[in-house]
Amino acid sequence: MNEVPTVVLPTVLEALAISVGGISGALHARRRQMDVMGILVVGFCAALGGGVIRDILLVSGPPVFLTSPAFLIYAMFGAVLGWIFATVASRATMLIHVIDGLFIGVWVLVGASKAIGTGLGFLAAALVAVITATGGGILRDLFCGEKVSLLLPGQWLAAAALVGALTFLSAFWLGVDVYVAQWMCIVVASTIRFVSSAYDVRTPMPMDVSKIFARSG
Amino acid sequence: MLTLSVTAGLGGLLIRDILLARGPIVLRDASFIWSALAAAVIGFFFAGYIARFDRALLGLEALAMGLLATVGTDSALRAGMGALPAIAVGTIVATAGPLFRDILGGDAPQLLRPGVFLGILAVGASMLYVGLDAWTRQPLLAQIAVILIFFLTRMAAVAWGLKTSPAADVSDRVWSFWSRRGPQQ
Repeated sequence: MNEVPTVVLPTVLEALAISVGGISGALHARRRQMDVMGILVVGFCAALGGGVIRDILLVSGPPVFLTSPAFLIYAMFGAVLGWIFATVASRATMLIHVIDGLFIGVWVLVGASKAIGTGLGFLAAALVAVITATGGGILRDLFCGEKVSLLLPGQWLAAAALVGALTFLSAFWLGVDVYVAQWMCIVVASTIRFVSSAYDVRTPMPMDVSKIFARSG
Repeated sequence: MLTLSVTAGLGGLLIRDILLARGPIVLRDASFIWSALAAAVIGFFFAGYIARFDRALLGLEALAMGLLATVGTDSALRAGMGALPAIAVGTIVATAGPLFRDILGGDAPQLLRPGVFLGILAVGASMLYVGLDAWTRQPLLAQIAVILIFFLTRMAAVAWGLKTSPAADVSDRVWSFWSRRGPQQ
């Protein structure tokens, strides 16, 4: 509990994850008939939005895309790729989906570790972790003027991130080795995500308990 | 209505201070809020009158956006950031107002849709400012030059009816270019 884990990704993986975010954002913007500016902005949001919100929430200096410009380059590279090779990229949505799913746990970890590093507690760290992993999608939908798909009933995305975050944080708090806890988080989050998309498991709709009581009473 | 006007007016500067992790100046110095409020009140009561001057408004908007782009880029540079982050900050600061206005209004932002030739200009203005600032080392001169160029380009785009089109799919062209140079031919 006393040592603070920092997540350091290999540069190649980092570049891959962020560019894929940029590509998926660019494809999203293109389906909405946006212009080049739209593609760049939405690609940027999808790739780096979660990190921006996280850094603002943690008040830990300028967002990471300003302090390490490489992130900005990866995101813009992805957005331009998604624009120029739109046909090729839209045929590879499955691949994009898989890469996105594999990295949910990683973003959760990055967010959770930063939050613990700034001295936040268990629940707050979980919240920051989920926001890191899902903020990009939220910003993307907002900037396209749509309902935020994360909040609509559908497959497990935010929920997968939340379970991953809780897994990591509880393991960490219980004193499990940090590396084991990190891998547990990645595996749990990705598994939930993939099982949910493969078998179309949907998030539960709110049920009205008062009706059940009324019937039995 | 008031919230919308204030957000459009102050959004850019607010975002700048958030991105650079400082206390927002629009909250520290009350005159910012007062001027945005005044503008909103004028718009509230004299909307019909103002609408007649849409050309003048267009010009003012262009001046304001040029100013915001240079101010944003400049503050990022002074905060010790490199060229690329500074361009990003300048673009975000210049476009945040219109973007937030549309998002709060529940539309897809006009700035991102095909039509108005504006967003890309903001990117260009920020780039130009970084270049001029490094070259002349006179921020004020560079700022005035960039604002002027931004204003003139924007007015030219309006006058000639320049519009952005939906992002074209260039994959096929890129693909054929690639395969023409391949070993098959």
